[in-house]
Amino acid sequence: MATRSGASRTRTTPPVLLSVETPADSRGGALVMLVIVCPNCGPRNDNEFNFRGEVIPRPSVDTDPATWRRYLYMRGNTSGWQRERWFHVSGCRRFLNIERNNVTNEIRMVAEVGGDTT
Amino acid sequence: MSRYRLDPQPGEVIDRSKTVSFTWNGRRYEGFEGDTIASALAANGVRVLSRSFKYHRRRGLLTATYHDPNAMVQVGDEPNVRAAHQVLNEGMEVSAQNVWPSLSLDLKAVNQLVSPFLSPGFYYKTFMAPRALWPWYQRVLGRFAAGGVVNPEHHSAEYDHRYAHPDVLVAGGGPAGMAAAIAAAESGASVILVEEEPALGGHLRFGDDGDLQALANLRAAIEAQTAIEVMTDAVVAGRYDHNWVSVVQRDMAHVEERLVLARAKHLIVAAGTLERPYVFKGNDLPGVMLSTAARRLTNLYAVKPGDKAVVLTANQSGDAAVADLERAGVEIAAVLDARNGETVVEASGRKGVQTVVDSSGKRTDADLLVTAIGWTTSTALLNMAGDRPVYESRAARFLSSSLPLNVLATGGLVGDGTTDQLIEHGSAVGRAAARRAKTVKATWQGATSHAAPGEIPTLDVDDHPELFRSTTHGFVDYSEDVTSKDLLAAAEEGYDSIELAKRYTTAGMGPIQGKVEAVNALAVHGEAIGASLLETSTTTWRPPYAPIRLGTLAGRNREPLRHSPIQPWHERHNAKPLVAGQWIRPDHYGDPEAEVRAVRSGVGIIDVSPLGKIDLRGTDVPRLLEFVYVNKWSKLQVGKVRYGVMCAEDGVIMDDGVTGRLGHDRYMMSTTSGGAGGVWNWLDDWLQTSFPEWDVKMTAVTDGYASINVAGPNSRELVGRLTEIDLDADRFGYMEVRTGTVAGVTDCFLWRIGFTGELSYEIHVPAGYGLWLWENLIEFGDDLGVTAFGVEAQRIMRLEKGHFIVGQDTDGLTQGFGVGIDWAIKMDKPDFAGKPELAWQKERGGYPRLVAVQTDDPTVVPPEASQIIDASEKIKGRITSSRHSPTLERSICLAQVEEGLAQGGQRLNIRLPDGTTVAATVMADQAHFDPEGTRLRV
Amino acid sequence: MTRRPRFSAWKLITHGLSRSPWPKVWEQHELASTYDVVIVGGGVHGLATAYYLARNHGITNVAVVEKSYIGSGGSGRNTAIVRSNYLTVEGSRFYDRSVKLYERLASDLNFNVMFEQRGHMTLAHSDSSLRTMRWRAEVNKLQGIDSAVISPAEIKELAPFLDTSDHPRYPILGALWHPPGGIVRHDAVVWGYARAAAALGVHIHQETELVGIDVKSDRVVGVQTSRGPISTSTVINCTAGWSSLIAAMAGVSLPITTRPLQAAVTEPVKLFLHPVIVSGSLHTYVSQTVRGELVFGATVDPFTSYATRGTLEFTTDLAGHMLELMPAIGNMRLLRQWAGLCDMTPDYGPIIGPTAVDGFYVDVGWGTYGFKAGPVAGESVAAMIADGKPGDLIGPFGLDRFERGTLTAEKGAAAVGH
Repeated sequence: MATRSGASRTRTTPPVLLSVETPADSRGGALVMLVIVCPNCGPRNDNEFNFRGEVIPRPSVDTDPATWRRYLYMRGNTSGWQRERWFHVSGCRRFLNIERNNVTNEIRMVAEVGGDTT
Repeated sequence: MSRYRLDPQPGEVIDRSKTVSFTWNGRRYEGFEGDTIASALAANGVRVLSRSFKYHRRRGLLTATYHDPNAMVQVGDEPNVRAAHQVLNEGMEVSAQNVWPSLSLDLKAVNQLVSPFLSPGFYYKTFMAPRALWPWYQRVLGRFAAGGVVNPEHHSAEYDHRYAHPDVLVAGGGPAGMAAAIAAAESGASVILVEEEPALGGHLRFGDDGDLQALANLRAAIEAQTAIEVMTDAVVAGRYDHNWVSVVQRDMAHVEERLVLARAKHLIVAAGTLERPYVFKGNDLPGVMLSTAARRLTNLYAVKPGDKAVVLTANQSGDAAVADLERAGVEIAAVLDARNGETVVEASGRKGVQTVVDSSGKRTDADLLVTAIGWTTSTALLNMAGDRPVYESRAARFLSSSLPLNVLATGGLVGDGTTDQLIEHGSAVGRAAARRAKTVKATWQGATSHAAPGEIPTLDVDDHPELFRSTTHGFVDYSEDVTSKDLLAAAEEGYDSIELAKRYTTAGMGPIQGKVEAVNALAVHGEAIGASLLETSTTTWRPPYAPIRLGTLAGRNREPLRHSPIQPWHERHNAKPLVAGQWIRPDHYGDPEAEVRAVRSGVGIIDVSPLGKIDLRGTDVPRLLEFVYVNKWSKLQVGKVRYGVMCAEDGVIMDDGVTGRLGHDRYMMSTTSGGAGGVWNWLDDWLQTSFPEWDVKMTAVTDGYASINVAGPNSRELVGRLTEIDLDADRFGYMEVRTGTVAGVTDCFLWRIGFTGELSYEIHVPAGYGLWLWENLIEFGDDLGVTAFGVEAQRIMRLEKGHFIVGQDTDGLTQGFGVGIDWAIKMDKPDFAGKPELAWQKERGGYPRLVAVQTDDPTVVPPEASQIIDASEKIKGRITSSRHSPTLERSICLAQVEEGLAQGGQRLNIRLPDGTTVAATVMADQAHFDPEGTRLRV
Repeated sequence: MTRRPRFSAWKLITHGLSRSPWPKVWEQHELASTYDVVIVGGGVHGLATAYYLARNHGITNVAVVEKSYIGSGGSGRNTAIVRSNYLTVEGSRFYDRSVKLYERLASDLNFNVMFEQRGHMTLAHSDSSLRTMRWRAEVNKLQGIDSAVISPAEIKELAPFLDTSDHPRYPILGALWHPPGGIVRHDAVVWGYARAAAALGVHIHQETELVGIDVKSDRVVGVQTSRGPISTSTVINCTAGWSSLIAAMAGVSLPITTRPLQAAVTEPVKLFLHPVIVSGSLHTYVSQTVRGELVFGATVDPFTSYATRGTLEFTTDLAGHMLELMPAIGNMRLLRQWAGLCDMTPDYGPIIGPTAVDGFYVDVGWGTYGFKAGPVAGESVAAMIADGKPGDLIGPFGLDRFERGTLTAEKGAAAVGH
């Protein structure tokens, strides 16, 4: 399956609000098998994707060890709405920016990297 | 016919024309088709079904449903069968569980004598000392484990999972659920209706004539609706996000049990209510049962539950039970009306109830005590959807408080009413669900605005007296033998939140998982801490709602298995299979050392098809290679191949392989077979997220090419017989690549590389022709003594040459320097993955080195991972690779050692697994054989 | 401080005969306005630390602040496996100390924690896995830890229900056998430590949530809780599962991401499985409790979350792997599934020690291996507080190792390919 880079993709998808679910209680309410609406492939189960986590900007390679290792290891790991990266490994193989609430597992935005301002 | 079997009843489900025989504890009995194990036993006058977990008290039917804690039996190979749900089959061998020597004479009942000392958590307060006896205590405790027996020879059949995508899934086939399904289907939705019992109808099944008529009408309407798929003897076990629902389906010919995974656009929960037992002294005696249990026995199975009954009633179900029992010829000795304040304080008897004492002190002889004191709403699926039900004290039950837009509830779960009212509510909910399902579908297809969800009618809840515990103490959790006294004691002892009390007493932790006991436990706990049920929140309902066989969950084993197109040849030639990740590869064909000798003296071929291969095209490929590899690539010419190592951003070696330039803008990267997927993703990540402007097109072609390495002094001769490509040493040198036709197949490429240390050509042919090429090589190389060799021989040869294997000779901390590729790491490149860490590694020094090691005794082959230790047994390194070398006729190793021990000539001690140590020496070169690489370059 | 009467068989008999109530295991207290040490998190780590502070060092003016009920976090959700057969020298030494503490814990705490040393078996289904097992065995032996590689025939003797033939998709090639490993009643460990700590004067505050940490000039001066403020100069973060959120209150960042870890239990059956079985390649493990239930676990969920959720896929994948290992258990029924939250660190090692904020300590990063370390972590952290610096056992696990680039080598095992 071919992967193309080249001119960044200009197509964006409007934020897809999966609002048919009201927020689940953080003490283990709703259980999950997320539906992620991929901009290319449509609604797919989350197990088609690799989770890549928080997006940490890469420092210059001439930086000091402490800064480089913060990039390697330190994470915000906050609760609530996250800006994170996923990879549709068993689908279109595009990297995606997703806004997800890591307590309720609601998703409010899915866009290809380069398709929005990241 | 036994005296407990009644004349035909209007709603009975048994077929009197078909008798079924079975055994119970070795003794033969008969029932009718349609009987459950429990109803057939009851019809034969057998009322004791089990002995309880801790005290081994006799137990009989309580709820007479799937969730009856007293009705778990062993049937053949299967433990924990629910006797009140499992339909009787001819020849079943049924026995009681956890009794010794028998159900009637169970010596473990001696526990009852010491029950005052077996207070909750008693095992935490003793068995601590002496420690030497602890294993004995464990064995004794283990003997009391409840449950049946697992047969070691048992083989489960495998049943595929089924996937379904209904518009509306209705959980519960009582009147409201049936009405909802009909209305949803009439509104155009596809519907799946799931009912736990063997037939639709819920409480209508064991109701009066009016109920049976209403049931017949509903059933007819369902039959008439082709859009409804009905699953009976099936239960919704779990509801996951976005209505991902698991259904355990049992009622199928030839299939024991099967898992259905459904993505329902809308879910209707019509699970109804479960009748709750009353807590009082003697409430667990055989003959004490719920009103719905008594009515099921009389109306569904035509069984007389006893001769003389006392009925405690607080609602219509109790009143109806009185009428049904009378009709069945049971003498009603007393009716206690809890609405007037009357209640039961004690039931006593030897092997079952014989006397009932009421709240006025009056004693009544009876062999049957029926209670109808209230309902527990079956809210599990709602909880799983995020609802936190709220207790309504005037109705004495929990009610749903908030549901997401794709879940609705109807029926007894929501409120009370006549059958017509329940049907009306169900229909309204069904119509609403069908509308909402359309909205969900639109959302998934990208719509951003939705139709308003619409109103749902209400269903009132009747008042009901709050009845949980009498003035005496009794069992709350029948499966775990936890009494109300235990719960109060636990709270007094300091376990004063419901969670702590539950864990300490184990109430609610048995096979019924709270369905029958949770509300009573909360009420009793509330007594102890002086809080009302409102404050004490419900403990969380976790899936599965009903237990699921492991075999059902597993379905059919679907582990992927990959093999090369040449696999048939390997199998025909008795290759020993090697499991290498998802791949099956030939390890050897009988004698790996002979294979090595054949390669080094003549020519051998190995199937290396799992090798990762990535086709890279575009003007910026060299920039990509410069970035992901530690070495330089910008000057790689067409027709040349280079070895590269990839490091991660922490400088740790990730993968290695060769990459060749096949054309002006065409490159082929190879990776390790295990690393192929990871490298492909790694490249995609950098290209898409960091360098989207680069002109690079990437295609993974691991499976597109079969790959064969032809190695040995005669390899040029052999390959030359199959191709027109000029293989002359001056025109096709070491580390070069050519494309062309081999064995008549176009689009091949072949490169000269050196993993085995011999002159070799690695041919990559379009995969469909892999076997063809292989068989040609075998045929054309016959006079050259061509030998197939496997992974083991290859491993030996690469070790002879000191080539490391990523992940074996390197580990998760091994950074770029120190493994023999220092020459390749070009720190003057402006940027590449891991560069900063590599720079700091070099600066810091002190890192381990990979070295070649040979033991003094050439016959000793230290097992891989043997530790290298100093005189004080401090670990200084380890053997990472180790084999006997047929070429050198001695053992050879690679090892990681501390920097200080890494010089040629250094003496080492290797500790063998048996504790002895052997002496060894670090070699000057990483290669044990032909360190100059002369054999490669001929 | 209240004298706590000792538990014993004799006491069971006298209480049973007299039907008198047992005294309370721990009392509720008003929140004092100041404590010498505030421990955040009422799980095994927090409670053990409190106990050892009081018992070993006489530091009793200690508060354990727990947002729910004690043991409600990871301590109540784990699969309760105890072992010390780790890959590294520092790891195996550390966990070995914990095993030794577990062996005496029931008598130390006068509370039966039901530590059953059933033996722990880690199955290898590939050459590289077997190599890693041998690596662990050799390192363990050099620490004096009973650990060895055994063959399929020996495996079959120890666990007859395992399929040691070559029929499975990933046949068993051998195993790492560790007799001192086993299972423990996790709730009892929590309750035992709580009771013993409370008896020594520690205040355990349940339903008390930490809402802020007061830092002035890079040192801790107090905390804010849902029941009021506490002034203190020592705060220990023992909240694995929420550690980043607590650390953020002090302005400290951690190399941790939070992943749910699921577990499940079956109905009880007669005992047939004696040792604890782990399969690295299949990423599953199983043990049978003395009650007869099988307890299963697997790997962490594939993405971060603070919801303790369960998935259907966990149960179907788990069941598939379990039947590969033990084909005869297909009729056993899964009863219940649940999840807890795990602190995942880059090197599969915990994070114990001081931070850049004076007086703010962490005992976090416990991944999927935290419960077994409760006793040794508690003992070591207490010693660190009393001595003013981390001891040798926990030295390798400091937070600063990430900045220095000296990660622990447990990662070494995890990264080795199949």
